[in-house]
Amino acid sequence: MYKLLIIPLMLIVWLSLYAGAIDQELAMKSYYKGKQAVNRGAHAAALQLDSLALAEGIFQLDPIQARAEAERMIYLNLLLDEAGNPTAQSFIRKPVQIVHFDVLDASLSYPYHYKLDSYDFQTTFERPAVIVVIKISYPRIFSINNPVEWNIIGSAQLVPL
Amino acid sequence: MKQLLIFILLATTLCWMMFAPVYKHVYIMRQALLQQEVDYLLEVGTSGQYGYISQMLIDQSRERLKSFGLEPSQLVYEAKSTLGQSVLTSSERVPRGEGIALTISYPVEGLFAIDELIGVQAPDKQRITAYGVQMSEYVQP
Repeated sequence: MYKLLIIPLMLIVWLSLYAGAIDQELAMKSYYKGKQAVNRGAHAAALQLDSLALAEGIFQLDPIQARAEAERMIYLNLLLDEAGNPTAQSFIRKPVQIVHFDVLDASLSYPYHYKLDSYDFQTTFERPAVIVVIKISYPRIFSINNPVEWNIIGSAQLVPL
Repeated sequence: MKQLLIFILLATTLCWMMFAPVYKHVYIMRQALLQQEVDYLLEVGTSGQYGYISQMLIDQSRERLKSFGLEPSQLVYEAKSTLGQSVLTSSERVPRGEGIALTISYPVEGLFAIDELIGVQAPDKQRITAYGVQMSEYVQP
């Protein structure tokens, strides 16, 4: 009798192990997609040249337009609506927040060493640049596990004409 | 009779337990493969040199995916611009500031057929898709 009991118990153990492994695999793929979205958002922001400054020969980013385009690209890539809320097609279930957005001014001396201690990020930029940090949470299979949330950092330098 | 029933139930469940996770893994990996192709094609296509996704790029991508065991004729590539252009060629490039959206899809084939063992019906006509949007850097000379 005990032998028969072992089989269903083992089935449950196997099943939860498999589900855990698949969950982890999906989490890594989701993180990767989030990273791609942030990178593309930063890239789109780094394309927004300030045309007034350009007329004077200065390569400068327009911070307002940069932010707008970065948001638009991140939302498009993650299949969110205009306000950053998930739609039926998106793989995330909670709204995405842009927790940090920084545009480096052309008046700084380059190469410029940028440090962001709160997200443990630092790098050296050769040209004016954009730094974006978003916070996304992954909808895990087992909700008893700890919530999975990431701060994903992306940056891009100004793309010359 | 009862023992026979238990045996059949146990055998199908065991069969499902052993092989279903592998099929799920294949599904995830195929999706990741398509995503990788989307990323690569977008990276090349949005560069200042192109501003569109050429047929040659798509053909080469089909060849790469074929080496992973996918059937090239079943792959569907769909490139659009955020302006609404549906055809992207060298004469209709996407200008700097607008995005190129690329979708690659592939049929699921029989990856969920094994779930019928435990009574879960696989959705038919489902496709694995990968999607990405990136802003074009192309400037009209």
